[in-house]
Amino acid sequence: MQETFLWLNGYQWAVLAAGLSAIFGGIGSCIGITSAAKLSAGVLSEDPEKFGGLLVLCILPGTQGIYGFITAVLVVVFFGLLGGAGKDIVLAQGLGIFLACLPVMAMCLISAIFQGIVSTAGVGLVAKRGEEAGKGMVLSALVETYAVLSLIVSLFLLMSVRAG
Amino acid sequence: MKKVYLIAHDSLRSQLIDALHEQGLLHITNLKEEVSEQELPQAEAEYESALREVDLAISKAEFVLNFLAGFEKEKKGFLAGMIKEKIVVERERFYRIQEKLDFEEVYRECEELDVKLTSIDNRLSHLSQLKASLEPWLPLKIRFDEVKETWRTALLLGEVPTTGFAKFQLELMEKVPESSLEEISRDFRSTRFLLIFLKERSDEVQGVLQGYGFRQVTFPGLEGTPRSEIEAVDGECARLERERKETVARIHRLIHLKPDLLILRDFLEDRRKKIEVQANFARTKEVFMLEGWAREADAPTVSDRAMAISREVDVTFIDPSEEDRPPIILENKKWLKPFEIVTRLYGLPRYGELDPTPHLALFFTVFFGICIGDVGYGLLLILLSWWLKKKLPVSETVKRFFILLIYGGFAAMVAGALTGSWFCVPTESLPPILARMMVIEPLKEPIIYLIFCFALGFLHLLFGVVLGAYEYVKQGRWMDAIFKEGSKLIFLPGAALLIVQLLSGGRGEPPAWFPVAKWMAIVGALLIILFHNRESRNILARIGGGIYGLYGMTSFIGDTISYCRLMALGLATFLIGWAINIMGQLTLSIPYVGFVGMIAILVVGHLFNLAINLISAFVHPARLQYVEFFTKFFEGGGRKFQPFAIETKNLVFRGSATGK
Repeated sequence: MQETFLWLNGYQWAVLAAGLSAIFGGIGSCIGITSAAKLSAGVLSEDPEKFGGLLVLCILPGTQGIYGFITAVLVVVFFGLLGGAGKDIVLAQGLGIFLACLPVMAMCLISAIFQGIVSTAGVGLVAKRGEEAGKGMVLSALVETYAVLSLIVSLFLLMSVRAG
Repeated sequence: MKKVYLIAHDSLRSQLIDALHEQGLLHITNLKEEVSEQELPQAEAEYESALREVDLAISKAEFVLNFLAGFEKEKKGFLAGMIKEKIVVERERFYRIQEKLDFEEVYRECEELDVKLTSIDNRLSHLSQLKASLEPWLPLKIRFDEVKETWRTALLLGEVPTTGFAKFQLELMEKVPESSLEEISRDFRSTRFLLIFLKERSDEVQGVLQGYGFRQVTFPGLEGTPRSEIEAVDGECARLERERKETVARIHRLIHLKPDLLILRDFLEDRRKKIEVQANFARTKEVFMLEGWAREADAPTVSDRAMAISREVDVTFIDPSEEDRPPIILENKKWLKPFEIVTRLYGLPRYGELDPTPHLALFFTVFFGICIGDVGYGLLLILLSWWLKKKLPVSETVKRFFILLIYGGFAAMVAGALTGSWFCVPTESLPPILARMMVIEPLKEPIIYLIFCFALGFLHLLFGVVLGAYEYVKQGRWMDAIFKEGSKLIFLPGAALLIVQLLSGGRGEPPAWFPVAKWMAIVGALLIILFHNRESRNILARIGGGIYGLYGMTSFIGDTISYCRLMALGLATFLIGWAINIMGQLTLSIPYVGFVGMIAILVVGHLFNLAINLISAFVHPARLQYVEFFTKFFEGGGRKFQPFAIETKNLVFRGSATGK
């Protein structure tokens, strides 16, 4: 009988970590992109020429989903979840993996939503002054920094969990 | 760019406009707003009336096009809906469209047909209503013109609500027994009847009728029995339907004129531009003057053409001054032109600023290749783009976009070969020849691949800093180039190497390059602190600004990490494609239809995968250019050079480039 914590054993904690990373990053990105894309559709009804700049603004909050995905892939690869090795993860390691993924889960969810808000404002900027799309993008990318940082932290933590 | 002033006598105005328009080399700006002059009521009136005339013609053309569009049979395909197809015409046909097409005649015919069709439709709907109201009276055997008073009796057609009919009948028989009530028909709502009564009992009858919600029914203008009237209505309907069909057939005969009409509309829009542009001219009673921009190389051509018209024309060229904001035209070698799409998406450079197009070309292509990252998809992309470019009559910009995709396709093939991705088949099942070309397998060694992406990104960022230095040199600010950007170039590689060493655990003997990296980082950091805020005279402010500049260097960490999207997108392509392959394999085991099913799943699935990844593979590398790369050296915000020239919405001219 394997050790469990809150009914989950080590392997299941690792799976939960990978899954939630992808889920939270994805949720954040969906909300962020939706917010910007909705307004963009309105702008496009007036001025279809601005599609290019608006597309980039809309896709900006998509990064967090990618980071969540990367984290999930790294958990799968690092701890051999695809092969049989996953079953050998002890509880301590599984919990470690889960905790290591927490920064990405939280930050990707939250920063994507807020980045979506800034991108939406950027869409408003493009609607009024099409030539300033670049500045809107830069502003929106400022928010993304913290998703990047959380990814780095999670990466390091995962590496340290693997090293034991 | 040269600023152009052209002054000429008013009599030459339209001639000159035509010449400049045909040449299409001059970007005309508004001079009237700058030069305050007294109003010329006569010129204003002339301008207004010309504009009104052409607007009327355009709206007529729009009416005819919309009218005909309602009767077009062909449905647009998915692809045609995505990409706007254009009509290919010769210039000759464009200029002579008004002679060839008797538009007034077409317009009159369309208008007549429109009116006719509307009246037929109105009549038809009226008749169908009449028929609906006649139908309940079918059992009535007498003619409508017989429903009238006689010497002593009165006849009435009418209805009362069905719920009260039985009671009504009783009361009527009770109060006025000498009347006849014949029920014609009934439904759940009302019951219809023919009532005959003595005129002298009229008041009593009316009293009863009122108590039961009686409504008299008349058919003004109808004479025959209900049956004969309905037959007449049917006959009339059939005749109208025939007439309608004939009218629609006549409209269909006009549809072949649509290309000509589209040409005409563009022609009229063009004429409108020729009129509109005059609003920018400064004018006096005898003379007009226009201001514009032309490329330096084009300047003599413009003036030669203008002078050829008359000696009474003066053309002056001036170099742009500090306050001027000349419009921007991107000039690149032909094979680099497709990458202008990426630049334009962000915005044009300011005048005198570096055009980033040639500098983003290589990295954009490589990034695009990594994001698709499959030999099969690359090949598919090349073939599809090439085929579409050949087949569709599209504008020059769309053609360039296809060329961009072809470049990207080649890059994807290379990336796919190096990462062992051939139509997303897992590497174990690859033929050994193909497997040997593989350098790295991203799924097995994601960390190494990730580091590769970071390294590539870091190089990209450093390249951006170098371009920043180049930009300073171009402006003659050598000191800024050396101290500001140069110090970053020393600091960043050193710091990056230190971070790499730190992450690899730092166990054992530090490698030989370690001291070099250390000193690069230290010296670079000091240089940044000392020189980042070079302009400041106050030593404290200067050092403070420098430290802030050093803090700014941390943004490079985030920027570098951002390039991990390349790996993620590449992996996503592979994983989805792999899932499609597995589904195909599973289908193969179904008896009889298995093979066909597999082919269908593979074709549809892989095309779908290519399509969705194509969007990401374009947008994300573009984002890396805009957000990570451009911020190092590029500002943008230039105005587009829009020459006064033929501009068409629906046309492509045969044998010549348009859409400059």
